[in-house]
Amino acid sequence: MCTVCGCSKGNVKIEGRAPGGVKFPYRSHHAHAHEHGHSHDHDHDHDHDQHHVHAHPAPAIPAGRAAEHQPALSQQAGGAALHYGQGAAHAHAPGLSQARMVKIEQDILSKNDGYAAQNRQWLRDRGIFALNLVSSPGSGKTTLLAETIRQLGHDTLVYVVEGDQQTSNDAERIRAAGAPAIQINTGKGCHLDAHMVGQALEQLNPADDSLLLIENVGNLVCPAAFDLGEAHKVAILSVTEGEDKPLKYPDMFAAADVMLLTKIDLLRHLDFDVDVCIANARRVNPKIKVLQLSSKSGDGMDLWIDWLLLEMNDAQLVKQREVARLRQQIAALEQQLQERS
Amino acid sequence: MKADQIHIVLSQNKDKGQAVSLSWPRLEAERVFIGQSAAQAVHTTPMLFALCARAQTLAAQLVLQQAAGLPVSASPEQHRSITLEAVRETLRKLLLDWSQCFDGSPAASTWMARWRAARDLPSLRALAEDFVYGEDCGQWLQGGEAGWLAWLERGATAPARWLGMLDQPLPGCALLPALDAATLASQLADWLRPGGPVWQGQPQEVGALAREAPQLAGLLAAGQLPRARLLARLLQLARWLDGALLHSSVASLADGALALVETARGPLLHLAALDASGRISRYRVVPPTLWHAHPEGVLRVSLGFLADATAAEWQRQISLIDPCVPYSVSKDVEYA
Repeated sequence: MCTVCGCSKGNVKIEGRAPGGVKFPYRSHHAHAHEHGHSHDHDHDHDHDQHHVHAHPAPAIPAGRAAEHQPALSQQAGGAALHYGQGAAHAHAPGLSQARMVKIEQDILSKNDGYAAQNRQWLRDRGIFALNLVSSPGSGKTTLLAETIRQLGHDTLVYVVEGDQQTSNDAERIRAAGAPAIQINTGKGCHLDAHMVGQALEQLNPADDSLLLIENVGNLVCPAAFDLGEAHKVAILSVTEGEDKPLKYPDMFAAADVMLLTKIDLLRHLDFDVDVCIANARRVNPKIKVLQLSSKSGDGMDLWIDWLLLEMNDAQLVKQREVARLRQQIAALEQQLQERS
Repeated sequence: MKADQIHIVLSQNKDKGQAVSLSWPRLEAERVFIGQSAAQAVHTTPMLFALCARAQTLAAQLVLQQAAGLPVSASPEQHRSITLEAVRETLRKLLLDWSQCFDGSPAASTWMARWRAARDLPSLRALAEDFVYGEDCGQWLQGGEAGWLAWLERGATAPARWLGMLDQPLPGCALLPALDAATLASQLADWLRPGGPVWQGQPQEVGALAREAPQLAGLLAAGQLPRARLLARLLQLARWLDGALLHSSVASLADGALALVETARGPLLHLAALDASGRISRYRVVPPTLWHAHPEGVLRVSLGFLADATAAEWQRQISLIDPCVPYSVSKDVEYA
């Protein structure tokens, strides 16, 4: 279940097949004594007919029926506003207390963080530079990826993980552009998570020293909270969307290291203030790097491509240095063994 | 984040809700083998992997011979060698780590001196019968679950007393069934995921408890996993001292080969492929600790229910699961 919107992972598919990984990985393990004379709801992370060590030691956690969070009522210019994000969970779900929501979020994210750390090391060991591309639907992510693959050319190995609720249309577009791609359909899920990406990596099997582009589900809310093991989150904002998006969705722009302002070829037709947009992004994240580009006209693409190549080079150097360090350690050990014998 | 160390993070939000996050961003040191000859890799293996060095070397030898298309099987002598290594490592664990965790200090120096001097099975058996079992280990093995519980109730040796202290239930994972390399070859992708290995979609506990589960059905049914975990280690030790051997198996893959070698902590997997010139083009090691350090594996499940326990209790439970690399524990507290 998503931390914020409660979306389900129940029908995730990778390339049209149900993944063979951990079943329901983000449901909390239940462990409670059944001697206490009443029953209550709890999440299961397994089927009861499986070979399973099933301990029931911990005291029951009652299914909280604490008071539902009430929105804050504030007066704004032009009328009142209901703010559901001022409780401890910074979100609202009917029937769930704030404490229960916080507990669920902690449980989900703590598991995700474990997977993300392992993905990150796996990528680092292979010198693979990975980006997590996040945006609203329709910002032009897939078009940008296809153009990026084309401009990087055959000399640069690019792999793509495509996240969408349904269809494999985007993965097919990426393959047509010349890069191996794998589609993750999240079903009712509104974001990719590190566990899904780990499974996809094993199937995609990207080559050492390559570029991995992860196109997240189009959504500027939930993907902000989920580390996938990437080097950077890249928030993509098209100039057709409005310059106040960074203020409306601050978590995403705070989590991103880079903002790509796309479709700048349309600026002359729009009432969009680039400077205001960048200032808004820097209000929520003063360190965010901003690149402006158009996949269609090619404006700004050279800076984006240069940045990718430089970062890829850094990732490759990290791997090379690690291998060199290990080889030095082995040589030193061999030397010690020779001196002893 | 420091590599090659298990990172355990206890996060607490401002409402005192707690959660445990766990990962082992394992450095794949075996990647130095890529481009090397098989002989170089076998030579380097014990330097790269100091723990279970003999088992690691055997796995490297087997997988590289199989990948080269050479006839391969481990000799009884090689199996005796890895079993002796498991016996010594288990006794070292008892005398140093578990003594520290349960009694607050390592076993007396006289015990350690005996351990250092004991290089063969008879002398290790004598040491174990004095320190662990208090009787002939073959006879102890005959006791069955009821007999072992009566033995720990008597508390005549330090490990029996420790088992008596482990009277709290804790949750656990599914237990990995016995597998050989040929069975594993058909489901290999599950073992090689960046997020950590799974079997039939689930993280698993591997090692002594998984192997000895049929002998400990009562403890498992009661959820007494910490006690069962330590008792299983003592059962395994007694079996090896009584002549049982750890095993290995190999299998070919469409591209390369794999070798599975049993160790004290569980199954050790090596996977390799060679290029046309005979040099190593792919190499992966999946040590048993990757199972236990899975983000949803037995360490996380156990510690998740010990969020309020003392540091000493955490250390004790981690030590019983017995990861083969250091670990760090940090707290991530969110203030208002």
